[in-house]
Amino acid sequence: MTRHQLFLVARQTYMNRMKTFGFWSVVLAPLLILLVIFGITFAIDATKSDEKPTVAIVNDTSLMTYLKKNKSVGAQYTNIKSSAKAKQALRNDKIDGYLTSQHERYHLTMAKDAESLSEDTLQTTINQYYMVNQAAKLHLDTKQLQNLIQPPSFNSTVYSSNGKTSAGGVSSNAANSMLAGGLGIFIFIFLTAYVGMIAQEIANEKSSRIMEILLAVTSAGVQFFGKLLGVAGLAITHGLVYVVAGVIGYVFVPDNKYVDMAKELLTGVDVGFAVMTGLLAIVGIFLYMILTAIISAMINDLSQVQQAVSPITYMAMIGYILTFILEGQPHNMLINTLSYVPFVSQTLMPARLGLQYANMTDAFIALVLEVVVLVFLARYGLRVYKKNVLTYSDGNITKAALLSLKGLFSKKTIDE
Amino acid sequence: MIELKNLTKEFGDKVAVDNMNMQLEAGHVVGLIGQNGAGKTTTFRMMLDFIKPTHGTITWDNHDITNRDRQNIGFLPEERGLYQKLSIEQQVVYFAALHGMSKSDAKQKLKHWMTRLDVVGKVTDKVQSLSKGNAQKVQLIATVITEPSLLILDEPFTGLDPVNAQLMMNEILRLKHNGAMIIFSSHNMSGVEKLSDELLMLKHGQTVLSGGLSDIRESFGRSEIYLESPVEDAELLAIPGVVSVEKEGDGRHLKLSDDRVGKEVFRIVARDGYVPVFAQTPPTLDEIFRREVAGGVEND
Ligand SMILES: Nc1ncnc2c1ncn2[C@@H]1O[C@H](COP(=O)(O)OP(=O)(O)OP(=O)(O)O)[C@@H](O)[C@H]1O
Ligand SMILES: [Mg+2]
Repeated sequence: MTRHQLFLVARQTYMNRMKTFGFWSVVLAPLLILLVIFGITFAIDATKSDEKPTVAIVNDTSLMTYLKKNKSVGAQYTNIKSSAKAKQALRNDKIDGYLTSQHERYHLTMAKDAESLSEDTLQTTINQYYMVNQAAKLHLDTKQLQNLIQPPSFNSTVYSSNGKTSAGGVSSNAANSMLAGGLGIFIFIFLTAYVGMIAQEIANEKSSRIMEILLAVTSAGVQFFGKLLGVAGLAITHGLVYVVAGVIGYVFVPDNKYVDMAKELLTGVDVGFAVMTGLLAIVGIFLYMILTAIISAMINDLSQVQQAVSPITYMAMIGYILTFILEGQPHNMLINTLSYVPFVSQTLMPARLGLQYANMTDAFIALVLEVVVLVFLARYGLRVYKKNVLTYSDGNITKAALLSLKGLFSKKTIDE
Repeated sequence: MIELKNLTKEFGDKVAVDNMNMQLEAGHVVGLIGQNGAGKTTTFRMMLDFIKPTHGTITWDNHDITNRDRQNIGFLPEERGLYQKLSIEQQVVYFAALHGMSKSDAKQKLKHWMTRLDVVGKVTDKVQSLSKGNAQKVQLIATVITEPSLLILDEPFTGLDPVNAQLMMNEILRLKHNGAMIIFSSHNMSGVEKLSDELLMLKHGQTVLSGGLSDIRESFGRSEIYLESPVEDAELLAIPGVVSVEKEGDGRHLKLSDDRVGKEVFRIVARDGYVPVFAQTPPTLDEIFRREVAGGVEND
């Protein structure tokens, strides 16, 4: 019976939210933002002006021939006899700029409003031109020249403490920490969305006095866990929407450099890391949900939702912000300790793991700690919830929260 | 059968309910009356296991009330509440489901109830669009649609106009005839009088009166007379044992110190051989309530 009621409460919570605009706007907003960013970059690429600047080469036809063969600079070239004439042509807007060469010194003058050209590429091209010329003077053949300019090969691998050397070395490292960073944002968005939702759900039932009807036929436990299950279902649905969107994107979005970048990044992530991070995140989110449910039970009316939710959001922010100052501090005691602490570890530990500042054992310890606190909160939180959900105190909820905290640790069962 | 034994609830050093004893049988209605703060809602809350009694027990057929039993309880809380955003149907179907009723059953029954209680609107209307009275009817439907075997109604008549209060009363009587155990609290004495088989009067948590309605009334003796007769007030007041004479409607209302005084009153008003109305009755519930609870001092 109770299990059936649990299911009913969860389903009711789930279905009602699914039908709201609010839920879908939270789910779809990030996708829309991505789509807009994608669209804008695409549009910018597509509408980029194809005009190439015209650069006059002053009195150096061999350089001009070399530059013309090499398309990478993205400019058109003409030959002009003297720099005075070139200056004149520039003043009359006939050309966008001119390049002088004297005794191996090259100088480029460009009009202010000229179409841009890549100076770096121009310089590289001139370097090559110069080198080829010098080689010719020294009578080196192409092979010899190549040997001369080829850099020696350099590779690195990282020995991570889980015993394996990660194949991609630097690239896997970067991939993991980028994933951890991205996940940090993701978890944070998730947390704020669902923390708010739980608070609303419970506060609504409590303030409209529906709670009494519900508790008459069910029990505090059914309500507490049913609500949590329903919202957890929503969070899971939310995550699945992104997975599906990701797969669709992966398959259907035409190849461009951003998609390639993302694909490259994802192939660099190792599976163990991804699974551990996912678990830390999911348990972390559940932790926050339970905490919110407990605190929301103290709310008397909907206007207090914000007051109840903001401390929780700040707490979530701690873990998130610390990930930014983490880089370059592998041995910071405070950060290292915090990365094991539930409510913070869900973002901090993956970030440390990604940067190889921590190993899988550390992450596992953090996960176990999270689970222990989760079980504790669920059991003892139910008591506090039960006590508070039918009590309408007109005082502020901070006082109620402190009182309940006391109750959380006192051994005897609480009733009124 | 529901049995409350030596039920006591203390909040700090305040005794909200003091040593209450009560039995509730199938097909019986118990009315709980008492001033604001007398302990009525607290009693219901203990029955629903919202709060634990300080002492005493509550049993259902001699066992503690289980979660399964709770599905058979219909509860109308003192402060009404519905999901504003849901439609009438979604609302009622959800509550019914928690009571173990199937969706199709609930939908079907809801239609009957809507017509029976004369609810204005469609089942798909949002609760927030309903008038207060209609919302209360929907609330009642949500409470009784599953025909629970125990009904706990905390002030079911407040906020209802006389027509709707009558509708509510008829429904309570119907449920009683179907064999439900019903306990309700009210400040509406005529309602209590019409509905209750038994009543329990509370004063600061203490039970001042309990038992069958007529027994209680009779226990006060036939100390009231309603009279329509031309005899002067002064003459009536001159009879020893007549405490007061007040105008009431077309006639007058006399209070007696002893029901035997009635004979003397009758002798005087009937001396011409005719009296249009003479009724010697026990005090009304309203009267008893005022005597025992509110203005108790004045008659002591
Ligand atoms: N949670 C609580 N904490 C402390 N005192 C309480 C609590 N709930 C009720 N009381 C006190 O217990 C007493 C009985 O209250 P209760 O609500 O049962 O009265 P009631 O008979 O339902 O009154 P009303 O007719 O106004 O609804 C009151 O004095 C009230 O102040
Ligand atoms: Mg009350």
